Amino acid sequence: MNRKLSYSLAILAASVLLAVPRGARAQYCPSYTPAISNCGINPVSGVNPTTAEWQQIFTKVGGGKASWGTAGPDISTMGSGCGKPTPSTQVPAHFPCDVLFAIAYQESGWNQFCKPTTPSSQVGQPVRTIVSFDCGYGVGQVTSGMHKGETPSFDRARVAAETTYNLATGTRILRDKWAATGCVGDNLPEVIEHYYYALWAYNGIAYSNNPNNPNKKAGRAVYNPAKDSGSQTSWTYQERLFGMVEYPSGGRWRSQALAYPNRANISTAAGNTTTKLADTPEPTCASPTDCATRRGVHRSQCIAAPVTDAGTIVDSGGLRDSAIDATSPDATVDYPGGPFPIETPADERQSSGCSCEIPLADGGASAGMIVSGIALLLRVFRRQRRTS
Amino acid sequence: MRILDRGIAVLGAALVLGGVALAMQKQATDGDARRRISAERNSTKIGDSKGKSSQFFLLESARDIDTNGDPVAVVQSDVVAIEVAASGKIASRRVVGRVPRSPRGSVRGVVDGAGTVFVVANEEDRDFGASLYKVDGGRVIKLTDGALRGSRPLVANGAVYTELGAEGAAHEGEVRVDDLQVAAFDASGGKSVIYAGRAFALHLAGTDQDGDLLIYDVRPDGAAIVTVSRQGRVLRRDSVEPFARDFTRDGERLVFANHSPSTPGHETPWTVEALDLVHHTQTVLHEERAFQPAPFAFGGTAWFTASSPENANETRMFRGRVPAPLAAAEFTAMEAIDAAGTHALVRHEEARGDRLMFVDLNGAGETPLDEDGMMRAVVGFAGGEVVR
Repeated sequence: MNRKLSYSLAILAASVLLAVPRGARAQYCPSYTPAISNCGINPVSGVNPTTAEWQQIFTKVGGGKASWGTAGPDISTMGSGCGKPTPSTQVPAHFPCDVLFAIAYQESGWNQFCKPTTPSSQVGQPVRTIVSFDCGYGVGQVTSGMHKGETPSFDRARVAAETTYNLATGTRILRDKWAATGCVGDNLPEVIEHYYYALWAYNGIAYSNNPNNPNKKAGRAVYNPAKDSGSQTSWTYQERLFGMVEYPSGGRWRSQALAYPNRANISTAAGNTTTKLADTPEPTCASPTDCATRRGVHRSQCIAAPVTDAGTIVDSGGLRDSAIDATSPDATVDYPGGPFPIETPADERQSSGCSCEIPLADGGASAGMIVSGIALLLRVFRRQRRTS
Repeated sequence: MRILDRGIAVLGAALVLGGVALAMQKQATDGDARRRISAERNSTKIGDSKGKSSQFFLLESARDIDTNGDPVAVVQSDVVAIEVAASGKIASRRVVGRVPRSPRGSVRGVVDGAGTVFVVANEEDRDFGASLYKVDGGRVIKLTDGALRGSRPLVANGAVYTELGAEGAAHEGEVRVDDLQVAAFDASGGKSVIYAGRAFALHLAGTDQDGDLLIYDVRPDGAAIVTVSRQGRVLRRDSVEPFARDFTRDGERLVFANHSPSTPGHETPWTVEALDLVHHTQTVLHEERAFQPAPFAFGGTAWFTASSPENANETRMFRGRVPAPLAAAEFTAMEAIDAAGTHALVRHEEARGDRLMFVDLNGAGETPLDEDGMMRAVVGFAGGEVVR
């Protein structure tokens, strides 16, 4: 699975679009064929699911093989727990649908098919599979195994033709990244924030996605695609996906205000003898750069109960269908081994520095005290007048 | 009952008195803060704008998301020159060039003293998919491709310097180490490689007082500020912690944000540090526990972001030890200042959206620059300083 439809695929379109006047915009849709590229499979005609259907697909794929059955390829087990405190075990692969929502939106805008606008030889063809110039196919932009001469262990034709199969194939990559990177917190597959490293790796474990990269914007708040997409490279890939979970495009999924790891705990250049991403503590920061305000971590809205062993998914019947409640409160949840930190109000900034001040009560507090006091006094006077 | 009434009356009186005391305390604190800021405004005459005009440059792009939240392709950015009248008001704006970029690609620029703008714009969605452009007299000339996406070029010594490279081999689970270069392009476009290495990053931090380059070199075994002569000879390496960013050079010191060395179980602060470029000593100028301050050194003083004394939910830009005459915000970063120290470009980061402001540092207030929905990136003032 590879990344980039929203941007990289549009690059060739960009050369065509350069003649467009300032500010003009155009939809774009690459659809390369084996005849004109190194891609191994022909795009096929199809119809994109509706938003409600997409949500069902994401939920199904998030449940893993037990959920998608023959609609997707086989997938290996994945690690769960990092001894903090959950013991490390292997469990059937399963993924937060919240993560899948964001990946698929970043990669393809939730589209498996589109009407080709590039390359020029394909313009005018009917709606068919998105195929980028680097052979990223469909909603998940699956590239691995999709080039000429490659023989992966999944069905390439189904990657091009079927949305569920495409997305499920993409989660195999995510599972491999999960396995290859260090623990985030207790490393539980059902906790969205614990995918911070896996998502970084999903886009390539490069310094360009290091939150301490000096080219990223200082003091950047949570990424919000509605206002920040034009400068999205000021955020790392995984920060963008976290922001998308918090700011769902067009209300397509339920907003969850995710916690971010403290950047001070993410060093890849501190005299390490390895370049692997080392374990990092439980994320608690309210934005990529703000750890003064704290947040708790979140379990996926699609996974009703944690997976406990390598056998079956416990209570997979709790997976939600398409009805995503956009208004329900943002849940911070418990998990075996102890509760996640209670999420503090968004405006609760921790007193910082060694001065350790108790915050001054604001004007509202003092006014409240005065009003309450006067009310109590009046009540006493009234009672006394009545009794006299 | 009388005892109860008496108790309630006492409680009511206590609340009234407590509330009044708190209100007075807050008023006194606010008054102190206002007086401090007012005094600072009156004393902050770091430049004289009377009778002078100046010019700054921005990169402007249309937002690339439609009203449904769906991505659309914006494939170019305008280089805009903005004239500031002697009165300190913005007098005019004109487009002086137009650079191509990939949809959602990044653009960053710098301007020399003559008003020639150099822009790194990414044209392909990969780390080294950007190009360096020279924008001069209405002409846009591509100097090179293979530039690092999201990097800012540097003008010095009659040349423009940029960060180039090629992706290193990817190893599962490990942070990629790239083949990087810092290259100079002279007035005729001739290229010479000044410094190279296999690293995570070679970030142009500035030049020292002699015109030698200061490069923030980040590798798996540690980070350093490397001083390199304009001929490409390594003169010195000063080790620093690998969290450095926001570099400005002021006289004989390089000022930047960083993080103190971590020790197990002890949370260490973010810092503003100064590297003495003559004696090669490092000094911590300021510490913050919860966020990384964004410093900007100019005119013998370091400006930096710090917790607001008035409101724990906000930060304020300090100049030295006193609040600067700038509005408070969730996060504030100074991005550029003119050569006279009279005008600045400041970004206020807010969860609801960041705001780019033109600031008259003599106290004439802040003028918003991005209220028309366009995306804007700071290039800087002609002949001024810009954060790196």
